[in-house]
Amino acid sequence: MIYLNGRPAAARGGATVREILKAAGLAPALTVVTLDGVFVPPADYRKLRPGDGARLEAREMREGG
Amino acid sequence: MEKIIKVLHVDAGTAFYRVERFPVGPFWGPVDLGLHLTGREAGRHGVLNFGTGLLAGSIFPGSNRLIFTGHSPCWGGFYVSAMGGAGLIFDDLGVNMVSLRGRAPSPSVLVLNRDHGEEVQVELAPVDPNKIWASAPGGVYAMMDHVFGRWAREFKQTPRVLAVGPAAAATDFGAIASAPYQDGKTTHADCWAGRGGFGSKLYREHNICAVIYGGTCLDDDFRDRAVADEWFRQRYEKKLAAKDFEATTKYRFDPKFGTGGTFGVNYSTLGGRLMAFNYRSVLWDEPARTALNKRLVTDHYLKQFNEETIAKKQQRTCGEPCPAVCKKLNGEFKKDYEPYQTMGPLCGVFDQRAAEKLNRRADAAGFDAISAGGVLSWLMECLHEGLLRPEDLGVKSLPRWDAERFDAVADSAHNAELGMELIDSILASRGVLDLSLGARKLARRLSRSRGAEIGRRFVFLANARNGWMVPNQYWNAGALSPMAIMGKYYMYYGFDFVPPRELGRLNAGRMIQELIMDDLGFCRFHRGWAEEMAPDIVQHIWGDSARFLEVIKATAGRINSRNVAVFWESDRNIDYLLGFMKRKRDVEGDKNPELERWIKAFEADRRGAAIDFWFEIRKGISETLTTLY
Repeated sequence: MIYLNGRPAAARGGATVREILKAAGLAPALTVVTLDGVFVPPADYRKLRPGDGARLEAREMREGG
Repeated sequence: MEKIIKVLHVDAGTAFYRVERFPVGPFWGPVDLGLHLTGREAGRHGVLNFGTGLLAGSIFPGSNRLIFTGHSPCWGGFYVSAMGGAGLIFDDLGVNMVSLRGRAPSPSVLVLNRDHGEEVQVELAPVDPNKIWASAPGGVYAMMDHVFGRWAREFKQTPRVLAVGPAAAATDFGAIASAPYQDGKTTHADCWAGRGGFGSKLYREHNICAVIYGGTCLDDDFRDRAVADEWFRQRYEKKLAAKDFEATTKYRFDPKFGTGGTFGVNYSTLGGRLMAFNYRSVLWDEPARTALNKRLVTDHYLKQFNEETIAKKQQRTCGEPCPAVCKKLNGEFKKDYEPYQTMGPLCGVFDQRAAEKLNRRADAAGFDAISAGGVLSWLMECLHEGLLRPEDLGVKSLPRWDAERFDAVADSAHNAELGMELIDSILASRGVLDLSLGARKLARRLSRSRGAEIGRRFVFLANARNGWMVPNQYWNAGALSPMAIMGKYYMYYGFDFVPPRELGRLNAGRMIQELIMDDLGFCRFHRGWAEEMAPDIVQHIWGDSARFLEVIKATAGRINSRNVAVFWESDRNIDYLLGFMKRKRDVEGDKNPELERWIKAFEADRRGAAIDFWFEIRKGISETLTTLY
């Protein structure tokens, strides 16, 4: 189980960060992510596959300059 | 592709110049190299560096930012400021960066011209800036026109002009302006290196009031669209142009909101997060804020913008071919969110005609418009509260700040007029308005001589002994963070509550991402693909993205090693933060126990909790940007 913003993520096991975000309806390009408290660069969204029990915090920055 | 970075060193005192070459690998762009040069010359010369990223002149849209670096006079530390589009013509000089040192004997224009393979011709020509600034159309616009008119014919291709205005002479927060030219005429899509006071630095430290540059040097820029399209297809299943078009929707036209640009989209989504009347609105309840937003912003200020600018498609680019067409105009007036926010609702101006006049006056004077608006709104509140009298500031009236009975047109016009008088007073140092050493120094002086209530109302970020910066106009904790560089987006500016330690980590992570963009000279409006693709592009072209990312992280760490952020000196900053947190809990229903714990801590010991919160952010920054061996 992977937790996204404190709740079980909809994406299946073995999914990349990008797939987890997309399954949750978030736009990866506009989303800032930490994995277990560590910032994840957008360039890693496609290759990083959070393990079981991982806690992902995803924050969309739609507004702003 | 380029394997060396060429820096043209120019000594304004002697007109001596030389080219120095740096290898790509240890150095990658204008930020890391600018930081290196600033540090190398520290104690001997103050230097102002401006240059492009390695991708300037390439087919990648948004890759032609002109990046300025150096010690900022207003921030009191190393700073990075970026100007849209101005790198495209700079690329024709055949150098990657100019590093300016020394001081011209009299106010001068720096002319940089290159004819094909010849050396860059460097000329310093004395001018009378006060006479030029006083001529039509005034200030920086007159300076740009004068310099273009005098020297453009000496260039084989249309050159570009960087100019400062009288704010650079009178204050520490003068900006640098540059407008693209079309068919020999200036356009109204002026671009700015606004933040950081580099206009003041250029003028006061180097005695340069304008730079004109251009050339015909052809270098080996990446122009292979078929190859780039293949990289984009592999990642996005789209060609480069299609992906860029999609990623820049917000800045062009977002059908979800029926508007476009930062002004349109931000005001369409603000709701109760509106900040008005020198942030006094953060102390109001939500119904009062949303009522003000609906009546004065949605139904008037934003409506005017949508009808006049968006519906009529008055939009341009910064000078490079770009689908974002982010310069939203109404005739000669260009509209961005943050200047039209600080010299808009923050000053009690909710009407486009009034905001246009006020913003135009500040722009012509050559101010960092965001900081100018923050200072004006603070002074207006001091007048409104009777802490200062009109004669103290060399003006004739008081602001009209009655939110409930506010007349969108008449009261906005009155407040804009007062704002323009205040600008004139700042430029002429009337009354107590000496901003030559900055607004923080003024706030300190007035708080000592006239009472602490004056300083309590000025929202700014403090850095080192006298450094200051009006924050970005987003009501969240990120905007007040103790980062080594503030006032731009080297921080997390999302609107959700993030516990401060985590916020510090996010800020640091965002700083690294933004540095990738700035060091490659990319416009952040293209970050929808550029942040993700940048390492791949570097890998494809230079074959060493790991080294590039290593340098970026080291640069972030080195900038942070000079982090001398100072705890908030204004009580209104604490109102700003506490108001944000209470709104999250009470209006948006955020049940995060950390949020509740912090609100209770602030209610029990306001100042103590604020210091704890500030240092928690700082811890998160330090633990992310410091390497523990």
